[in-house]
Amino acid sequence: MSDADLDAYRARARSWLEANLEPVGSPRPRATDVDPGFLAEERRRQRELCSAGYAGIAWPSTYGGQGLSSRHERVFNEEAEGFRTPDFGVLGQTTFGICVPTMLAHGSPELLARHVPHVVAGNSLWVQLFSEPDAGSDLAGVRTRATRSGDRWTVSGSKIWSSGAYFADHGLCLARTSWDVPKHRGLTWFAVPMDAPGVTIRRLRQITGASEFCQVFLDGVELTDADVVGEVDAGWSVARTMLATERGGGSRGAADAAHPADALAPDLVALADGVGRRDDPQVRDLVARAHVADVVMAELRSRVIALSRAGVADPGSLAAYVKLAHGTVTPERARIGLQIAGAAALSWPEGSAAEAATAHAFLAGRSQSIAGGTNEMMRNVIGERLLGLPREHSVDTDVPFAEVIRRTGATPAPGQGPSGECAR
Amino acid sequence: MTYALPCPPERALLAEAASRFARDHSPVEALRTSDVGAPAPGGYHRAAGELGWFAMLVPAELGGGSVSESPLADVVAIAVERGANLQPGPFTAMNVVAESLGLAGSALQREEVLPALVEGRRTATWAVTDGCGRWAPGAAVSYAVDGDAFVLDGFAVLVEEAATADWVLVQAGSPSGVTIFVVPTATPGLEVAPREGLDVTRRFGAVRFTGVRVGRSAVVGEPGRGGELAVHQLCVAAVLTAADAVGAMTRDFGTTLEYARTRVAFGRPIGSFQAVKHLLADTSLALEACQAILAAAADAYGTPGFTRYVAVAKAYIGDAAITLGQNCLQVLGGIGYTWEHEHHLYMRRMTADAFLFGDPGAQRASLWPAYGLGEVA
Repeated sequence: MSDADLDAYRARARSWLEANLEPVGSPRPRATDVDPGFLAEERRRQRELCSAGYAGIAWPSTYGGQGLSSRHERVFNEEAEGFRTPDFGVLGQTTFGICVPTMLAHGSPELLARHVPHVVAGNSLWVQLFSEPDAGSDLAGVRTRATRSGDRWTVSGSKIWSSGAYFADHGLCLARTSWDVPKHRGLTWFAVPMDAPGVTIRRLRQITGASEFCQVFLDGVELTDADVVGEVDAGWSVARTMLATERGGGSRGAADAAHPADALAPDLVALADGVGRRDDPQVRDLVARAHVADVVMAELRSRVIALSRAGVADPGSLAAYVKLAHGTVTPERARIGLQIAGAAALSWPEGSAAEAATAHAFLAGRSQSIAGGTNEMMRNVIGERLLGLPREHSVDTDVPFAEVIRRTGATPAPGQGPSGECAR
Repeated sequence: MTYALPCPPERALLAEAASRFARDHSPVEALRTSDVGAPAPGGYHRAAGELGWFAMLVPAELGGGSVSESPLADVVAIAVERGANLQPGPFTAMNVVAESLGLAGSALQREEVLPALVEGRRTATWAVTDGCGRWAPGAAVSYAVDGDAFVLDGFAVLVEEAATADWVLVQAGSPSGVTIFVVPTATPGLEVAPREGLDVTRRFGAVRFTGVRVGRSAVVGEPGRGGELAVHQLCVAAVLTAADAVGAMTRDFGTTLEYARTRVAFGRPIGSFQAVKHLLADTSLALEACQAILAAAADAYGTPGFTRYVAVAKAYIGDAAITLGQNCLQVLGGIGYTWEHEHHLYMRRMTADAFLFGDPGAQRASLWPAYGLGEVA
């Protein structure tokens, strides 16, 4: 594909966008609370993209995509930056950036044909059913149980930190299918309809006050072989793909269309102006520190993408550099905001969202060092898979999982009932 | 240890040749036995000149030429190898002077000085920082006009190889502006004093100018109009110094990593302990980030964003270099605190690099005016 083709594609995309979508001045934050009315409107927007041929751009045409390259997708995302595109809240990235790319890498043609076209058309949003109350960083230690009987499966367990589950159509669920082998070898992925009998969702309130987080209870949910994603008991390789995609190894949209080198941390300069501290040398140094971090982060991301393409190391492991950088810089940057704003970040006039933003960013910034893999897990990945340092001595990797549970005295099977949930 | 991105094959060859040259002509081991940096061995600059070390920023028609379309990235590739091998000599100054003569030198300077530098037959250094460590045009030396002559007065420190250089570049200030001079070190009134210092891998002297009289032939470009070129010179020097640091950091980190893999305590390699592993992972991340921003700054050469990228790169790499030195020492333990181990040589070198041509704080302060947001009132 030549650059001329891409340029022509860009021009076509631009004229379609101008003719059909509403322009938005600056990038709008994604929705954090998605109600049914809002969702219906966003699904309509996705259908509009789909019928114009601008949805699933880099996905295979067999499954309703456009079968174009990731460069085409990038070009479209760049052009679409200034326009009102579908906003599926937290599930936008989960569905389009994580779950479907993972399924495309591992799912059977039948599974893909059944699900992906609905995603492209805006009828299906996906949530990760991944972490559990007893399995976070030690993800391979999940205890949600899937039991086989002929071609049918029964799934029971509890999933947590499943952001956006309350408005998802499907969940990509990691369950244990074999207990008599070490933990990494008895895992299988399932596509779970969120309206299946036995699925119960409880929204959790986060430190920011928002409720994107959910706990999902699976109580005897009935599935079939057709719902299995990848191979039975070989779910860890799927998990590795999913983690790598989530941590920044996968293709990205145009999240950074404006390069941070273009301006000196504009949000913080505005904040400094707002509190009348632009000429305070300490404030100027803090803003400059944030700017240095922003520019370096952007260059680091480009470098990691280039290193992945060059094949110098496993892309999933290389992505840990970007994830760890985010996990350390984001909280630090949020703290800088707080330091600049000072008292203005501690209290503000009632209902003033703009003035609450610094405090909100401070709280929201806490999540980056944990969500999608803690900083400590990233340091293990870098240390062990990239720097070649020996693993910490482990007591459970070569022992059947049932034996691990017996030794640690933990409860093996879930089944405790949820309380205060909203059933659906 | 760090990863190598694909680069033009000619640049890879250039770096490889630089690494081999460094090991053959001035090996790190030689530094361990001396208390102060040694001068470059005889014929060092001549041989380096043959490898093109001082030619990359000079146009081909003036006897120079880079190996790729990104000349500063080519020099950076050499500078990284120099830092990794703790090489002697005023490499940064020679490239800066050569580039400036290519950009603004007189016919005479291009004939007499430039080829000698490009070929490495003679050497040049520069005197830009005053006794307080201000890296600013006009900070160290001022000048007055006296008929056809210019009279230079002032005092500069951190003048690399002041005692052996043939010329010294000066960014001299006056009420009518900044003028760039290239002054023969043998000029009367120019006094060189050797100094001791933190970085024992290089030799820095002080230069005092007492009524040093030079003619128009020593001026680069227009008298009083050198401000812009002076800032550009500082930017190029900052990038090459940052590259030197990244080379030193890479080598020091690699040595430390190998130590963590093989040193056994409590019955297993210390690198298996998360307390050590996580420190090394953080250090590795910082080093990859340094590589990324260094490459971006080199690629910004010749673009309007160059000054800003340089400030960001020099600020980040300077801080990261000092932290890396401390982290490596912590992993190496007692052996890293001995003169015998090479770690201290690297720590001294990259710490000096963090300050040369603008420390992180000064670089950050420069970002506000660089983005048009003005000086502090």
